[in-house]
Amino acid sequence: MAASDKIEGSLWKAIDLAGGFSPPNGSCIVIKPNLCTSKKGIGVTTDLEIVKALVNYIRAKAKDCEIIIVEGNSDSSATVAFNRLGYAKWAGSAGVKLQNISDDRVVKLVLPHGKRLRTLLVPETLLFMDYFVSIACIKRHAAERLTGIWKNQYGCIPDKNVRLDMHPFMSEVLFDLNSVYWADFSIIDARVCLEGSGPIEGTPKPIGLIMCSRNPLSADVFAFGLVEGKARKVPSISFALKKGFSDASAIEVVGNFDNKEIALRYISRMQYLLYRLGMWTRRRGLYLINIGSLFGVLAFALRAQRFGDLAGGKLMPTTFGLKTMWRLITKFEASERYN
Amino acid sequence: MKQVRVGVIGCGGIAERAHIPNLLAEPQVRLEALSDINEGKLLVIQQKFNFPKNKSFTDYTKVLDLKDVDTVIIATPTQTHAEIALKAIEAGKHVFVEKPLSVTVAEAEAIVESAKQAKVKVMVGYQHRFVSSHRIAKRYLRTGKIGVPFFGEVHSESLIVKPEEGILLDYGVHLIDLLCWYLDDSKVEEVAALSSSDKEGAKEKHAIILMRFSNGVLGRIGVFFLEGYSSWSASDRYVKVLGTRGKLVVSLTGPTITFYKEGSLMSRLRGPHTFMPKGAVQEQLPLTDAAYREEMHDFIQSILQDRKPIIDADQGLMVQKVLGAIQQSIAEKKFVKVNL
Repeated sequence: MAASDKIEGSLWKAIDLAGGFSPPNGSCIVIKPNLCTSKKGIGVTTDLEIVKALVNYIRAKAKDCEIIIVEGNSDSSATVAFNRLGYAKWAGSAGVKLQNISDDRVVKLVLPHGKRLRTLLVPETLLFMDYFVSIACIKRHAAERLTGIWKNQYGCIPDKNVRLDMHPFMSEVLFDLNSVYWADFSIIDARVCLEGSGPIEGTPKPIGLIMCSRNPLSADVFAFGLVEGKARKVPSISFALKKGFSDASAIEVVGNFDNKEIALRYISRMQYLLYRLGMWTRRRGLYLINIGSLFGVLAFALRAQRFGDLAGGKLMPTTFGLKTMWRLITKFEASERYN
Repeated sequence: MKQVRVGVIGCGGIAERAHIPNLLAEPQVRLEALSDINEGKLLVIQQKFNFPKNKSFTDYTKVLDLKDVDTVIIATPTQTHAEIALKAIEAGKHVFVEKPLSVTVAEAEAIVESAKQAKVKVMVGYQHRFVSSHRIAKRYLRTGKIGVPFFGEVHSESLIVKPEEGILLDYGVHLIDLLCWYLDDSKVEEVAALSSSDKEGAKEKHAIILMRFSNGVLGRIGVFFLEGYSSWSASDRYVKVLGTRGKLVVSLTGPTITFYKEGSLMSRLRGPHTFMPKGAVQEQLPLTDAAYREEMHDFIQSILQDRKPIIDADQGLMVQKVLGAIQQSIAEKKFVKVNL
């Protein structure tokens, strides 16, 4: 950790304290900032200056690397965000490519062990990248309490409507996404955080920290611990910790920082509970949509097979059939709209 | 709007299931004539597609005589392909001929030569190339995603084979075309092959082919007849390419690609990982229907845009030459150079 006004010096020091980041020469490195809106606002989107400092660090450590900055459409088009937030103007001279992954070619990745997703649309830029660096801010989020690195990967779903549909399953979907896009290096830019309801609306609050980690979950666990006392209060972090992605007690902290606690205002408890209740209800709705689709699949199957053969285990073991049905009801294709 | 006026010669399974519906779905195509030697079959097709009787013939030459027809689709048994194609070209028609182009190399050469002289389009129906997963995989190969390929393999177990043709002529040609297309930076230099059949003198049911390409790439084709099997789910069918930086395995007719790229994040995390083209709703869903549609679309567009079809007569001839060398290798039990 480092706190300094000199961004590049602070970031380089923080990266080195976290063990450094030295990809092999000629690697393809993808940087994922958080550009969820094109509106200029401190603490809402990733500051270009910290991305510049990271690119300079990578250029100093590895030669001939292809550096691509990616973002998907969200509150506004990622292309517009790149333009308005200054990325487009800088990228050409810096030899960095900008990629709106919502416009990228995609393939559908099969997730045989996905917690909530059966398949995921993967932009080809992310399919072929060698190293992945995630840069995020700490922001309040109405339904999630806090967001940071772990939630930043949510923007890797190229279709923003699918992202909206999957909100009720945020914890499991983030788990699946981070298993696919496990950041080789994570940077939390907490020089300014966002308090209020977030993640776009809120009040910037200067904190003055830059945190780096080789484990994206550990980065959030530590940072959220500073805000909430316990990172487990954040549902998606709690879910990931339960699944063993990181051991909160084993996180080693190096560097110096003065602010051991970060106070960020939040919405009222009643508002938070209502958001969570909304998510819980929408989950049931999505299950019902899948059940409806399943009836259609069964009706289709009955065109070729008799019900007795389907139900009696002649075509496949009954337990396998039930497991498949359960999977079809409870898991989703992050490539299709459900509403 | 410019239109292509088409006659279909041979109304068997593939015409009924794929070519006729696909032609009817093309907005710039007018189906002008049908022909089949079997009158009963012709009647069924007329009724199914509500096609007028006076434009249906049991003699294909009547289709060739029609001035309203400028293009013919030949979907007859393989032995008749060359004869019909040559007559159609002579009549100035563009020709789509189902695979293979012909039975012998000499026939294929005659088709290529006469098509050049008559300045008509000839396309051969190797529809596997139009399966979306193969097109994606080919793009990855071309853009060096797995480095430089050094080995290519096609393995296919089929539940059907025409006994009078043998598995190589009936189905192996697809695999030869596909492997050569995947590795099209080089040409087949020499082949060695083994085959087996259950009766003396009968056509082969199983075959293994080894190939060496001009730039040193090695190839292997395995094609087997699963006689007595009832479910296609038992059949294993894939294309595999090994490169210096990774490898990919593509399901032959299904939508999946299993991919590994040395050093990439996803390969480091997941090892070889499986994905599908966007739009494939279910693993192992056959994409061949869409491939037939794409294939016919390309042929029609090649006529309208006056360009070469993706699989032209030269490609068909190349496959025949490789097949000829394979058959010679089986007969003479030795490596045979391919004269491309």
